[in-house]
Amino acid sequence: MITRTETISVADALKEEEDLVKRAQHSREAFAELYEIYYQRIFNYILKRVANVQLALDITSITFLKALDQIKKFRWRDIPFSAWLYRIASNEINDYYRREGNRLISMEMLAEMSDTTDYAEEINEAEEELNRHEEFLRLHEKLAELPQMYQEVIVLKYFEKKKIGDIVKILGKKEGTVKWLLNRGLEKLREKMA
Amino acid sequence: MAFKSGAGKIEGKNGIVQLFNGECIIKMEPIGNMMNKEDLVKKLEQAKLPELEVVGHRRRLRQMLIEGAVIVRGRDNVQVIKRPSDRLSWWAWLKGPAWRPAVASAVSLFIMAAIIAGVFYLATPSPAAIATDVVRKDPSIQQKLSGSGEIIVVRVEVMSNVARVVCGRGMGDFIEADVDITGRTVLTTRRFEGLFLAELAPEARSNALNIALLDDRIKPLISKGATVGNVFPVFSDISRITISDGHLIKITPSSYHAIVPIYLSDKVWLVEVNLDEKKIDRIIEPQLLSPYPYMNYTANYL
Repeated sequence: MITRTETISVADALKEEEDLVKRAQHSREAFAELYEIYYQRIFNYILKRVANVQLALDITSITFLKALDQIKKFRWRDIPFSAWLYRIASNEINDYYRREGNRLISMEMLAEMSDTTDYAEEINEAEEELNRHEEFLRLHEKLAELPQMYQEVIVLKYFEKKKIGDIVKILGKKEGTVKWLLNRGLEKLREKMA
Repeated sequence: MAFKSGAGKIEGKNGIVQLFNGECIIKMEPIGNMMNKEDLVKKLEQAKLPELEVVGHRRRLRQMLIEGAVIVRGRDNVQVIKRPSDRLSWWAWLKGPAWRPAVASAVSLFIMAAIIAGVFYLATPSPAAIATDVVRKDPSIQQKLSGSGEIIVVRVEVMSNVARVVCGRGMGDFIEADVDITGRTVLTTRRFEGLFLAELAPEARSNALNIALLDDRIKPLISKGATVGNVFPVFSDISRITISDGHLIKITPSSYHAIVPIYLSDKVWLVEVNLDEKKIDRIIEPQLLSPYPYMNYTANYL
């Protein structure tokens, strides 16, 4: 498993991840290792898109469950695994808003697990922490008025610090399209913020 | 809007430009107040972003992934997480190896074939049902049987393509008919030779006796030494007809009236008991007995 304390080359890291992905295609335990690597990243990306803790948790759950369900079809040569996860997450977020915010997922199974009081408290604390990020929430309020296609490129570029090339792989769009969406999105955001 | 001559420009506070034309003031927002793109980008890049963690959720979701939970779309388009043991969705099962859809197809075909066979079987009447139907509709049998009402089929024996049917109207004659099942015709008929015996249910018999013997008109007869004969039903309805030993026909009526014969010397009183209302409807005054006591009531009440 790749950890932050190890110093290895990028190529080696990628190779290690590729091996892990191959194992995860046949082993849930191996997938769980991938999950541990990417959980925080995906959850926080979703959080930046939706600015709601409970919703972000729901979409995170769906993202990883769908990833587990579809990992056998994943081919490393097309896009990196992280980009694939981001794509699933993006699609789920867009899906949610397309359904006009209808109830997404029954979390009964999660709630059945022990320690529900602490879990609820933890969510409350996370929500309070989110509310302390007033500047972000103000930005998000304006961002949320834009169509989803602009929101996702802006969040990936400026909040997730992704390069255009990465965004191309995540969204599965051409570079020119991504740049156009970015420019157009910024224009519209400027108007909203004026 | 038209401007009059003498229109001018007034620089207001905060860079707001006001054009005064003597009639109205048009206030224009300066372009300079809209954030420029670079500033916006800087604002976005430098925003303090939330980086949260919900450990409980992380742990639980990991556990579900290891257990192999799946998402199933439920009612109202809600996605539901199910454990593998909850996974009753056959669709999820079908998405497995190729043999599963093949098995599912084979099972479906088998079920469809079984349903078609069942429908065909139910729609096709049995030989006994065919024979019964033929006998009931045959005009010659209708004429031969005395009495009125529906023909009751007492027994059907199917022997290859011919069925032997015993039928009657519940009282009087019984006929035995041979029926060609394929041709749906009556081949032969003959009178059924049997002894008719009518029975009342034991509880009904006991009730009739009690009601009769407790009557003030009957008590004096009993005190004089009268005896009680066999209790018989009055036919108002027939619940069952059975044939035993090939000859004896037993008629079991679902009747609420019974006759209790009371014998004293050479006379018989016939007490007609209403079992439903638990009372005596009438007492038929003494009649002379015939030399054949059996015939006194079988002849009258069958």
